[in-house]
Amino acid sequence: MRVFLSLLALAVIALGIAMTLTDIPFGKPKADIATHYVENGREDTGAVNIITSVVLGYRGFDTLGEVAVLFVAAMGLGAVLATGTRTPKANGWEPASLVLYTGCRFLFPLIVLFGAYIFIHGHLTPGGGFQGGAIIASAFLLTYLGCRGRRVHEAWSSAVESLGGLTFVVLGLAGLTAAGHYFLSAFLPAGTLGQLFSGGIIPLIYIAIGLKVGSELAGVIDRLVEESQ
Amino acid sequence: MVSPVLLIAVPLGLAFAMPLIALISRRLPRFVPLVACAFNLIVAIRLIPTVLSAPVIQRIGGFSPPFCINLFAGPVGVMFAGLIALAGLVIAIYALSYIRTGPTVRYHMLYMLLLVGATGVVLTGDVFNLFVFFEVLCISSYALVAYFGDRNGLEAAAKYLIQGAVGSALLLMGIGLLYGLFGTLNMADIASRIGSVSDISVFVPLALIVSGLGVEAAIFPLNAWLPDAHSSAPSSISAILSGIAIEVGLYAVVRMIFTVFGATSIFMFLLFLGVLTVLMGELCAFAQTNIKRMLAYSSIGQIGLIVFAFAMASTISLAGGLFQLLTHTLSKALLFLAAGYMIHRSGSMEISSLNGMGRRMPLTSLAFSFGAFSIVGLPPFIGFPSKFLIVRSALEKQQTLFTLLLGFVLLGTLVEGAYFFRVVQAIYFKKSGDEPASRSLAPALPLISMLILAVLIIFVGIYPQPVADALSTAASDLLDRAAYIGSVLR
Amino acid sequence: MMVELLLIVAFGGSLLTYVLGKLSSRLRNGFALLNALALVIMIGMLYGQEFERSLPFGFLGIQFSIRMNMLSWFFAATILGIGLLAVLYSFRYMKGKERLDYYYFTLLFINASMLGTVVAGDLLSFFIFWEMMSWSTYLLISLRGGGKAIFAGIKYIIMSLVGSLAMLVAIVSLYTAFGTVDIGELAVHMQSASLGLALLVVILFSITFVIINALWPFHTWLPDAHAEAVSPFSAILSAVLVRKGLYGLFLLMYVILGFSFLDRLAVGAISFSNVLAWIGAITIVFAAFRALLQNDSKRILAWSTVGQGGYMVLGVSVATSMGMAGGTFHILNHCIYIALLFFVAGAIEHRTGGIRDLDSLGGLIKKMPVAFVGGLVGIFGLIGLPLTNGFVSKWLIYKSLILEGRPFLAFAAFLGTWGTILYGYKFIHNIFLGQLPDELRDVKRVPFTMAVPIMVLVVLVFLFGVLPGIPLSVVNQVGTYMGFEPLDLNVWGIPSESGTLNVVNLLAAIAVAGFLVWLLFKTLGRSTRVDQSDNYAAGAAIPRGRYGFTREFYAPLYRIVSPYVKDFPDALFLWIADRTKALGGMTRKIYSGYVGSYVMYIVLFLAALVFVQLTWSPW
Repeated sequence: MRVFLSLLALAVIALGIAMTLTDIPFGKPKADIATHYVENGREDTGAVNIITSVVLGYRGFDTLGEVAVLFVAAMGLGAVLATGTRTPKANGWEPASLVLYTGCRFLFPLIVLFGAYIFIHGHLTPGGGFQGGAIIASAFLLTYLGCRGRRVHEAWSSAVESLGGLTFVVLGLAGLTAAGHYFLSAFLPAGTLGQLFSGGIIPLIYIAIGLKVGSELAGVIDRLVEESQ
Repeated sequence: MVSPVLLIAVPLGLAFAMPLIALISRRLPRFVPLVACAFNLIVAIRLIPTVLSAPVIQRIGGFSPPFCINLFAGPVGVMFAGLIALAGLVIAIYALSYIRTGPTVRYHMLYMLLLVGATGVVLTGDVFNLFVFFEVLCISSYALVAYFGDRNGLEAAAKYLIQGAVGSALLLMGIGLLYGLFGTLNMADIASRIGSVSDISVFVPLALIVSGLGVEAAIFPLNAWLPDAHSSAPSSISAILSGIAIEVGLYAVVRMIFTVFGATSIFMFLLFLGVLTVLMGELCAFAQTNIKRMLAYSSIGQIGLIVFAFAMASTISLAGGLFQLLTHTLSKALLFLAAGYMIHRSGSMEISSLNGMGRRMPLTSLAFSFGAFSIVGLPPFIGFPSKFLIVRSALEKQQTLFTLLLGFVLLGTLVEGAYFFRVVQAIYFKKSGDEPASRSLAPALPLISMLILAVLIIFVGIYPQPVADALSTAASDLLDRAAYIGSVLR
Repeated sequence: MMVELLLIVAFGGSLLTYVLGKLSSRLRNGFALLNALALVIMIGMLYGQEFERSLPFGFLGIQFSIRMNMLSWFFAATILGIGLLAVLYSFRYMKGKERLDYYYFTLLFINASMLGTVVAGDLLSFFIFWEMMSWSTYLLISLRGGGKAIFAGIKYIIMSLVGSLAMLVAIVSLYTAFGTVDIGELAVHMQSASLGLALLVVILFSITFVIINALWPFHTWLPDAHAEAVSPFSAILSAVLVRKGLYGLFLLMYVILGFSFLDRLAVGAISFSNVLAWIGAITIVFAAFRALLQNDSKRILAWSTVGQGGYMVLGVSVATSMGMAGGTFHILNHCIYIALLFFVAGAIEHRTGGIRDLDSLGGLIKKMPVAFVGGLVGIFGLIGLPLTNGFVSKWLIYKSLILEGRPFLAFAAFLGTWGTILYGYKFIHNIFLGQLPDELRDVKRVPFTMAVPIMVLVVLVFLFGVLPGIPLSVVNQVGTYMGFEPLDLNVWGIPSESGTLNVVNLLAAIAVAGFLVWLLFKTLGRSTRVDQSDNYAAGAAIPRGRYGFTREFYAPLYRIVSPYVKDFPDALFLWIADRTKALGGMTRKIYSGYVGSYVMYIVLFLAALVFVQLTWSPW
């Protein structure tokens, strides 16, 4: 009965959504907003990567919000896990083999470097702060899996996290005071399109985001690992 | 002129900086919310005269709206932001001594982010941005509900999380459909194009968005998470959830319906929904023996009353609804804060364990009574002018239906009176079973925050004129779509 | 400025009393008395003034105003007079009890709010003061603590809340219709009001005022509240607070609506006044029988308050000059003797250690003579024996009923009086006469500060009974203010044809009768002085234990009437409360605690919305 009812309800909702979708022409931009972004994105923001121009230029405020969401999620996880019963770290696991251990240690800097590359070049190539940060976090995950016992230094990680967020906000506020009185306005020179040092504040923000996301996800992994022990 | 974006950016920055501050001293972070809220309060107060004459449109990044995200700092938004800062400040003072155990730094961080999320929701002029801040608000409240880490808290938080996630998903689907339909996310832009597609295509996103936001706004039947969450959370968080979070959800619903969709035809439905919410909430509260649960159900009833007022959609009714919202924020916060220390003292949430509290904690009990009287709408407390405005707006419709519905709402008030008066009696006149009446005051800081709320409740209750005036301006901000669209898309 | 000053002194005084109480209890008591006395003097100085004035502030765009006229003055004077006596009485009565600061503060605050209601010049400030009166009363009823007092308090406040919500709707309806709530302006506007609006307003206001005046079927809060409150406050409740309902009715019927409009509110024989009169009649009879069944000294008095309210309403709803005068005068008289009786009951309670049960009292006549005199005179007034004030007002009411050709109503009034005689006798007998129980051997006399209010009221009962012209001249002015023809008065009564009342004649007749009786006893009777208990047992040997004459007083009557005079409204209201609670419990089951259902609600809600729109597209 219950299943039937839920299926019926979902079917009704699906029907409604389908009827709305008939009004949305597939593959055709309905408004000129998207076109505007494609056409003017590079000039307006100085980022070659149009996605970046939207994410950090036109809709930078959303990104700030998303950074905050991630931050909240990490904090929330920390707060909830911290209240659980904290067992002393009895690391009863078998240590990894030497090959695995060495391999992980070898790969770690490479992965971090790759992550850094992704977010530093966020305005030029696909990817950006979030992706780069995730890659960096994967390096830490690898360490946890391969080199058990090695831990992120919590104070450092939270300091980096904090600095990253702070940089984003401060850059935004600087825009408020420096040029045009707009929050997150591009107050630094845009530079030459396609160069590494171009795009005004965008690379700076992406670096901040990358560091922040990286340390945050690493922190989350750290807490989960700790919880699972 | 101060920029409204400061209201979001500064507290957010401070929240981000909190881990650094904690590195300097573990004692410092708990003062950060105070600073941030005080700052926000000052900014909001300075903005109010400006926005009462004309809304301030803050374009983020310096592009022109619809291409960028814009903040819409109208009277409603700024007053809301001010209210959030005020409630946040008072509750932060309370929490200074109330929150002693657990990961306190994270508590204060999450608390700040909750306030940032709430402020963002009320100020933004972009539907997706609204979603983002909404998530900040929701996720931080999930975590805070579970702050004590006890079984109840975790269970309530998990339930809240599941329902909230369903709500968010619906909201996101709705926003996605809107973007598909109009190719824009700017509220004013969507509003100006809303007539260009067929009715059903507009209705489905509307339904999705109203249901999605309605979960946080605690509209019946979407509010099942509320009693659990509000009663299991630490009292300071119950106060902020009851006083701020659901109101902000309601604001979002109202902003969507009034401004973005201009869906006047749905008002009648909302009217009934409001009345139903009132009756459900009050009846459930009446049957409660757990004080915090009772307060939580009473919040549902109050939300119903506010929805009822909003759905009448006249200037007076909107002003009344906003006024009731203010009433509820101040009074319910006071009630939760007072109840928090009484529970702390008696060690139990049962109403019967509050017997004789009047002798043991005189000032806290007095604060509780003020809150209760105010919620019920007795003069000279703040609840009276708001109830008066709502009654007035319902009767001004001069239709039997409205009068009848008003009758039901007042019936709800009666039930509300019954259970609140019962508790006040228990506090003052019932003899406590244990320990002879030894007096103990709550610590000074919580008393200060209760005092601030109590003074506000009485002061505005006696002299509501300036508030009412400002709120009628705010009401026209919600009612006048054309002006909203015009001021954004100049 | 006088009226504003009055309010400031009243409210400020109550607050200051509380503050002073924290310093010293003597200071507090002295100040409370002084404050009450100052208010009485001030209201005395306001006698005969008539004005209406806007205050420099308002509420949500509605200008506040105050008014003073004979109607307001009359009620204000009763409030403040009884207030003064109650404060004086409280000193000893409340001595040694807990939370005295709170007690005096609330008592004075209630008086101040009541004062506010009668001098309010617009309905909104009337309502605000009314609400303050309601909740502060609620805060004082349960002061004693304990299950019964708490139950009484909650019963009172809920019924009162029903009343205030009804009144709020009525006032706001008037405001939306005419854009003003000023009483004077409304009186003008009302003449052009539609019948529907008028009917709504009248019904809603009537609910409020009938509840607070404790008329059947909304009387149920009163017996509990009056019996459970501390005695000085019971006196205030019974004497003045419930009569705010009559003030409201006066305001509604004769100030705002006016005669001509009242006549329009009639369907055949069913007019507003008629309905009110019948409610009054039912109240009288019902309350008289209920009072008979009581065994608690204060509960008897409480039920008599219900019944006497019926007389007042009868007089008022007859709407002739005489009926009006009778009704109004009865308010004053009842206020005097019921306060007296509550003071007496309180004194007994005070000295016997809280005994209110009539079965365990008795024989206190020699132990507490002042209380006896007070009780006897109070009961005389209540019954309406000639030479007491109650006689005069009841006389006027009977006479106006008869003159208007309302035999059934008059019969109800008589029936009520017979009942009153029975329970009045029971009150006197069971407390003061008969055998003194052993436990009460060393009961002390009534303390001085409690005796003073009692004696003052005793004097007033006789004064107004012998010289009814003095209070009637005030009552006459009240009537004139509301648009009635003044009665023809002299100091001994009413000399004119229609309502002749001459106390001199009565006095003469009673003197003659008394002389004859005295003569009879002197010549025929032979008396010897015997011990009190001998007298009681008619000279026979008395059992050592309790000779239980006072128990089960009127037992046969009790058996006959008790099946018929159940308190049906009370049972109904309790049933509603019970059902509401059960409904709440059922409603709560929606929140089952199973999160799957919760998500289901969300999905179903959305699906229902979409389904309705797809099917009927109403939006």
